[in-house]
Amino acid sequence: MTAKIGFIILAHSNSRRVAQVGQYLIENGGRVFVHFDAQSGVPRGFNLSGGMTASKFKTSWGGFGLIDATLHGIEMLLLEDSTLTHIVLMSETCLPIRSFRELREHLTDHPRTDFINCFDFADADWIGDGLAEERLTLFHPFSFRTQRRAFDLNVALQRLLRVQRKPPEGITPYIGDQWWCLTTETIRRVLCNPNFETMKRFFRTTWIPDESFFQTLVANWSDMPSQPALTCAEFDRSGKPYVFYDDHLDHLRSAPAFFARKIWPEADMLYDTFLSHAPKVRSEHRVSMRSKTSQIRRHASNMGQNTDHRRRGYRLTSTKFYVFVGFGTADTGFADHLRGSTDLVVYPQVFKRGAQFTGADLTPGNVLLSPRNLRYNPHALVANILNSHADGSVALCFEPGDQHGIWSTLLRTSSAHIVFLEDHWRARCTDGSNALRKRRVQAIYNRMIARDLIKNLRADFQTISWDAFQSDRHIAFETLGNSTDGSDRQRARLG
Amino acid sequence: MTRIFELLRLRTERSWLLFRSMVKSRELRLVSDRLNQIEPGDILLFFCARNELQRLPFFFDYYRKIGVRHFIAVDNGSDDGTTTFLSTQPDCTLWVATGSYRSARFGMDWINALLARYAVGHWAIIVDPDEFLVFPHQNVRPLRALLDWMDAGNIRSFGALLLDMYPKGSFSASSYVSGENPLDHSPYFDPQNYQSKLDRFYSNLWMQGGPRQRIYYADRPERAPALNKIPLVKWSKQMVFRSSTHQLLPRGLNVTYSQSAIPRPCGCLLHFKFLPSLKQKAEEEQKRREHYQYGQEYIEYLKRPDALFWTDHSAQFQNWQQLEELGLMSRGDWV
Repeated sequence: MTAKIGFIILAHSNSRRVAQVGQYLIENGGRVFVHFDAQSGVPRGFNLSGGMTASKFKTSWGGFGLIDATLHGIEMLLLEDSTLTHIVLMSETCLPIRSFRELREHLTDHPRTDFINCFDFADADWIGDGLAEERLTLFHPFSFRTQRRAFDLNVALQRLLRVQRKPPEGITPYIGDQWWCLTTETIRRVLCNPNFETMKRFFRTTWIPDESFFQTLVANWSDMPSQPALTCAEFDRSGKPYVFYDDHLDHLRSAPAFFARKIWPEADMLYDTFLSHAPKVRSEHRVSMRSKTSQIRRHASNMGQNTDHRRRGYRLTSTKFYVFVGFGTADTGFADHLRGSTDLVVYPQVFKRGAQFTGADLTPGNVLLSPRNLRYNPHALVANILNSHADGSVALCFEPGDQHGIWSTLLRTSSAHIVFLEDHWRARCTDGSNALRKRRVQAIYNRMIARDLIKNLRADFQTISWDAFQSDRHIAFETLGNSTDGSDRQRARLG
Repeated sequence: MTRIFELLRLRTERSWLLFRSMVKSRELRLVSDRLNQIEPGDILLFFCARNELQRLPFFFDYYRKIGVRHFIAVDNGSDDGTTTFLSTQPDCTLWVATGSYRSARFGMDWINALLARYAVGHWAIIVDPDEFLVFPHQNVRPLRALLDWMDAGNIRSFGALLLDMYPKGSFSASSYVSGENPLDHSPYFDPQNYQSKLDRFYSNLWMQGGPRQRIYYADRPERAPALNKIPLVKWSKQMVFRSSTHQLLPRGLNVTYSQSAIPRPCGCLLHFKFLPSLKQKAEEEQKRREHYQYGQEYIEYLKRPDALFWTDHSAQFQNWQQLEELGLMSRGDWV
């Protein structure tokens, strides 16, 4: 038997697109019921020939009015045509992204399948942001959007009183996306269940029941097999649904779903393409909806670093860089050695107090290396230096007596590979250039600082002992290659 | 307790600024009135101009293309035909301000007054005639798409980094024809040279850097001009700009950056200050002493009018993706 499909469209104000989508569905043989939010009413000039329109319930976000409107829609559709086999719930921003014929064939092939996402409520992973179990265990008589203060106060009060509502006897709560496609058989079974009114009473004072009412009822009372919903709606990390624009055309063409949401109302190309009657060319490769999410993750990792200021402190960079501590004190030619033997870009004096920068004072990012700049904002200067070498081959040299402000940040930065020369303060005792007394004072001072530095070192830094360095100066950078396997990193003795 | 004092102080300051802008708005005289064209939901652009005839044709073109529906301009004593140009634009309402730019807090009192009168309920762009907004997905989506997205997420302000653009040679020796795309004249910028500090009281970031800090403020970087801007705001009646478009009150609107792991979209303002006319302008402003710090910035320009901003490391502007790749702006969660 060919599937006969009814559609419920829950709308607020977007009458132009609702009419367009509704007309498309009707022309292809679907039955359509449109419900407009009672607060805005049916927009003037809205005309859907062959469809039904109502505006009975306040369908504010997160409230039970959405369920009332849906139930009303089911009733109206079944009264109009009792031979319907499936009912699809859509929003005003949903758009069919495959031809109606394909949808009908798919439903004809699956006459006894409900397409609805149901997850066990205990599996809280599904809820991205906001209240989780408390959606059901507390009473929520206030609107989250319009009565925010009352809502928050109410939640706080009930937490204080330890309110714990229990769902009706023998019912396991389920949760999932609001948009579904159910068989009329399941719907009838749910509506005729003797406990239906009890369930309605329970869910009336829960929060966002549109994501749990039908899900719970279908999962508990229907024994038909269910499959994931036909609507692809993914949410970003703050819990907002993604919006699709004209540039997502290819993405939607290859999405493994029959409906997409949300579509930006002005995305003319999307509406024109998917609602045209011409047969559509589907691209061969199928990209999962996840590609969009991964795209975001990728961008979030390193983008907007300049304007992205976390209160937790500066994030220097995510690419690896080296910090050599104390080597310059021990060996004045160390920086040149390093340059000669490795392909690292070496910044020997970035942290030095009162340093006079010589030669090329601009890094590849046009960052001005000047003592004033360093003193003014050391974090920013270092971050800029690192960012201007995106390939991550930077070595910074840090000596005792340098500006300490940056040290804690370096320690916090997981991408910093710190190479520490043990007992580097000894250097001044052996070079013999200063008067004895002055030399000793300097050495004691350096030793104090070295102890201070070493105190906070993480476990994964690399230390090189003084004696080893004296016998072979290249040991500092010869180990760089294999320093990543980490087994020998945790040397026991520190300061 | 300190928090109560803080809130009280902020509130007093906000009321004072609003009151001040109301008083200063008496200096404004309406010259061409096309206010009846404004429809609910239109994107409005507010700006202050003085002798900007050279830049304005492209400025209008650019923002009309982006989706601005009405321009609200304040002209402060122009004598180069700017007034005529503005009064003949079909989508521009023009006021002429007779008072001092300086005593109107560098024009902000006038702008605040006009914003309070006409921008409530609208998205408003507040820029100078030499600033051009670049936002994520600009190549494929109109500005309206971004605004709808921010409306849906209850985000009311959009931050941008002021990106100083410069030519390859010295700016005073170059040439620029009115109406020309300033990008053809000054396509270069500093890719990395920016720093930020958090203002704990007003919650905004103070960003500095770029070529102006590198060349003119090398020995006192702390005095370099601020580069953080809030050019795009969904206006409501309690809002007021505090310091240019760097700081907005109530202070929550200054949080245009992300405070958690969830990134916020932000943009760039391409700043074409270094046109050849700057030299003449600087000479004039030095005499007028009407600008910030009595035109200190212009004095610096005059000291070294042939300064070369361009280096081997300067980047040439391509598109918004390039700026995002460099970490100067971000699409955030808006993909």
